[in-house]
Amino acid sequence: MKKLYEPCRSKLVAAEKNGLKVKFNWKDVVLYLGASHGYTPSYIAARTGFVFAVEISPYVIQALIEVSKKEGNIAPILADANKPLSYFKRVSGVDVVYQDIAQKNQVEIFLKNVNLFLKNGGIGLLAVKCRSIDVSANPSDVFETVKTALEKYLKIQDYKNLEPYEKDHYMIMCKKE
Amino acid sequence: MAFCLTMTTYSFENVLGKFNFTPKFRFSKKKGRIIIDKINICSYKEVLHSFKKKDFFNGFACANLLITAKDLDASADNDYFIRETVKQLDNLYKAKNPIKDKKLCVDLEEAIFEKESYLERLMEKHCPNLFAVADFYTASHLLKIAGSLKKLSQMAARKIQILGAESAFFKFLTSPERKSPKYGVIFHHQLVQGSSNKGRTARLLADKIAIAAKVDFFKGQFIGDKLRRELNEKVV
Repeated sequence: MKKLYEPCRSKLVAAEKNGLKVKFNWKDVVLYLGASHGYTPSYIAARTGFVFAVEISPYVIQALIEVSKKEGNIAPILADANKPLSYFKRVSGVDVVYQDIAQKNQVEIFLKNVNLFLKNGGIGLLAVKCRSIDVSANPSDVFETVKTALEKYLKIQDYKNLEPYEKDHYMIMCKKE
Repeated sequence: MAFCLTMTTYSFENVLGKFNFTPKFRFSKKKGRIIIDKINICSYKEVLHSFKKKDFFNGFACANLLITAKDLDASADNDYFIRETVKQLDNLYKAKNPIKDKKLCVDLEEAIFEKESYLERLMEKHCPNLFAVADFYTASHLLKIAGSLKKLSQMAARKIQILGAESAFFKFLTSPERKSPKYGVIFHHQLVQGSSNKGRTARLLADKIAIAAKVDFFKGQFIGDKLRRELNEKVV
């Protein structure tokens, strides 16, 4: 039986409900940064070949380990996504990078991982949290600074606002060339 | 995944092991695409095929699971897990309290039951004597406020009695008119709730808890039943 996924719990499902078209191949290998309880990783793992899930908190990763034993194609990694050299040897080359981290330097972390692991022609998916970058500024202004920072290295294909499901959140899809 | 170029071979290191390539294995760029030179086909085709096989990625899953299990033991101990679950349980109790309709909070009750059963299993393994003497609620909250079992075992019984009522205790120290508090978290215990003289039972309970915590920290035998029996005789 097919499992139903709620858009309030997963940002990828919310973006797809708003009209973002993400094409996953069944052979793709995915690097997932900030995989908390494994709700969205299990959604991605059903469509792709293999998922590397990176998580920093030792409490939350207990739930992720149980999910990975159930699914079979998720590899849990207990590491800091800001230091990609610490899990350098445990990850292979990757077709998709997905990031969902509430940090001030989330764009910097995303670019670090994209440079190291993403193959040429791969897709990068970034969930932008405007309030965790700057609380006082206008969220649409913050989003434009993120866009200009990404455009130096990557080609932006599409972006969507996740309005009814999440406040001040955006999803960007970009391609490496 | 590390490429390093030496004079004779390309070596390639991973969790799964070391991979070596032949010296004729080369990459060349044509119109932006990477194309492999057609030299020595048999050797590198096998290597490239093995990267796409299912066994290769199954190896990744098994190796990463083993390493994360090791990292979990190294980075966090049982005290950390107990503190985190108690924090989350308190939030769940707060969310459940104002809802009076029982049909609405079925999911909440399920989540609470899951967390409670997980905590009970942890406590029976980590501190069986403390769990037997103090009940589920008081034992977990004492550990949360103290920080760890080591700190709780080094406390005096009088301090354990007041744990959780710090603000009342410091008001007593500053102003002479107030009286000192008789109980903190211990107040929620079954024996204290039922007794007529609550100050006396709280004092007796704190004594037994101090003994039980010390036995647990140095990993002695199980004497929780004996301590609980003595308490029941004294209170009644």
